[in-house]
Amino acid sequence: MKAPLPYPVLAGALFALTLLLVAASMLIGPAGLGLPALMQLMASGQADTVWTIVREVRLPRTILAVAVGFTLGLAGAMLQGFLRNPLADAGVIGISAMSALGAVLALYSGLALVFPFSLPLMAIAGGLAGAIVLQGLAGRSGMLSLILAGAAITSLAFALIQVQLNLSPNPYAALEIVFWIQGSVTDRSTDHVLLAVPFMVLGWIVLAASAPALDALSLGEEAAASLGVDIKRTRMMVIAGVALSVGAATAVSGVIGFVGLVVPHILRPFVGHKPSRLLLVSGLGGAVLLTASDIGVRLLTTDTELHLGVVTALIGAPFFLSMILRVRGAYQR
Amino acid sequence: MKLEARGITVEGGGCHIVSNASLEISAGELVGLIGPNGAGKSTLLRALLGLQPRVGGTVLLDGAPFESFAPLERARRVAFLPQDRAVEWRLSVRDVIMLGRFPHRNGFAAPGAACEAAVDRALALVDCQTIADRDVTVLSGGERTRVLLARALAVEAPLLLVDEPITALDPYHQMHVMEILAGLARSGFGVLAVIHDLALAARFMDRIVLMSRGGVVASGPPAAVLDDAALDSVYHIAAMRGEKDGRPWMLPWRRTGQAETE
Repeated sequence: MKAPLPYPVLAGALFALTLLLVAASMLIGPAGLGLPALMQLMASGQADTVWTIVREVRLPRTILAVAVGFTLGLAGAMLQGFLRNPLADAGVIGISAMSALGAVLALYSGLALVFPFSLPLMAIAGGLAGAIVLQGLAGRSGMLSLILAGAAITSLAFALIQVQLNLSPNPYAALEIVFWIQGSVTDRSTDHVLLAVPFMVLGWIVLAASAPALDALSLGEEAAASLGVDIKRTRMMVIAGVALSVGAATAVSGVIGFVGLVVPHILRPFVGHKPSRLLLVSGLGGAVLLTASDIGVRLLTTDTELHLGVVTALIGAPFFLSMILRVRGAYQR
Repeated sequence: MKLEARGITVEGGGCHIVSNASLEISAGELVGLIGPNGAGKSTLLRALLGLQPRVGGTVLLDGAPFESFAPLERARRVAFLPQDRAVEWRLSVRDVIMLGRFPHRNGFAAPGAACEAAVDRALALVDCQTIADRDVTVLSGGERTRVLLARALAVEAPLLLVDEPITALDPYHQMHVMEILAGLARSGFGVLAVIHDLALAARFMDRIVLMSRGGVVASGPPAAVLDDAALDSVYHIAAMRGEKDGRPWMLPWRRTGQAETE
């Protein structure tokens, strides 16, 4: 259908909103260290303290919220376009859980301490394994069987994570892993940014390169192949790009679900339902959603800060249920 | 422009789905590929396009192996309308037809004036100008078939392969689509269509290729291929026949035996 907004206007507006939220995220802190408190510190000659807080605490957190959000939105739009399935999302189909399994292995075994890059690399390997198993289980065999395969993969990944938690000799280490799985960008350092963001950007580039094929794929694989689309190559690039970006994101943020499901669904009508046009705006929309949610958890005055993944699940799970109800009515086959 | 298949053999499930089948399609002719269910028509069509791996045979485009062309070059020369008519997203009719320009476009740039003009021509050929801005997922079967045919026409390839273009259409729309295909052949395109309706095949096709059990058993003008003996041995039916304005017609009339179990 016709897009109600010109594409550059939509993309520009989302980009501007992202920048606005980045600025807000740098200035707004947990209770007691909001903008007025920072100003006061500045005025009392403690500019160094202010800079340390902003640079060492808020900057990495903000960069990760933007990058992880962009990754999840982009990966969701890509998976939905490639699989021609509006319910596809890295979390729903089990790629996030498999990435988490890889990351937990790296953390639990101590490998991440000896060789820090093992954390994103193991998470990427986990995501890759998840995508390949999923391809074998469900391929393109209908909307709901993909979700079932994803549920099975997620259960398996979490079962293996539970084994490690169960066998953990140290309850604090186990608790740390539990918190980490809940998904958050709090207390991340510049090291985390350097570990993960390069892989995420690499994933984005791989995904962007396969964008033009997505529109042709809305006619089905045979028609797309007859138009000159290399289906095998596109599949490999989608799997690699999603595993790289989602794996790296999960390695530093834990499991943050549903962003890739909700954001493309909301934005699809605004780009005339064109799968390739949905990619960039879904990425930006994901960055907006995650950065805004991360500001939100800081402002909520709970004793313990809510984890970001808990918030997105609270918003996303009911949304997912409503989508399944709608899909069951509209496209059952 | 001429597409030739020689000795095509395709295996599946341990047996030959298509065995040693040969056919050709040239510019300016409308050729019907017919045969009972399971005869291997769609498989042969897909093997022609390189969408189906084959264990034997060659496909030549103007004498050169089809595989020697890059995928986009192939796509610019031979267009294909598959049996699967699903469009997953609520794209506009115009956007769907524009997908036919994929082999001519740089994927990241907006479509140029040449592409827009090709889409307009395709819309006019299938008589769909008035629904260009509609949502493709809510169209009727007849409209959707014509829109997807326009998508294949927008490629503006000299050869067009269509798989069951009139299945599940009412008689008016069957006639409409057959007239469009015949008109394309008259204006110089080569069209190969898999079709089940023997009466319409006899009425419209310049030439018919008859398949049975994976092999091509006859090829030629409709009246010659669809004779009583062939109808009996391949389809196990008998037909009524006649002539109108110098053109033979036929109407399948009754069964003459048991169809083979597939």
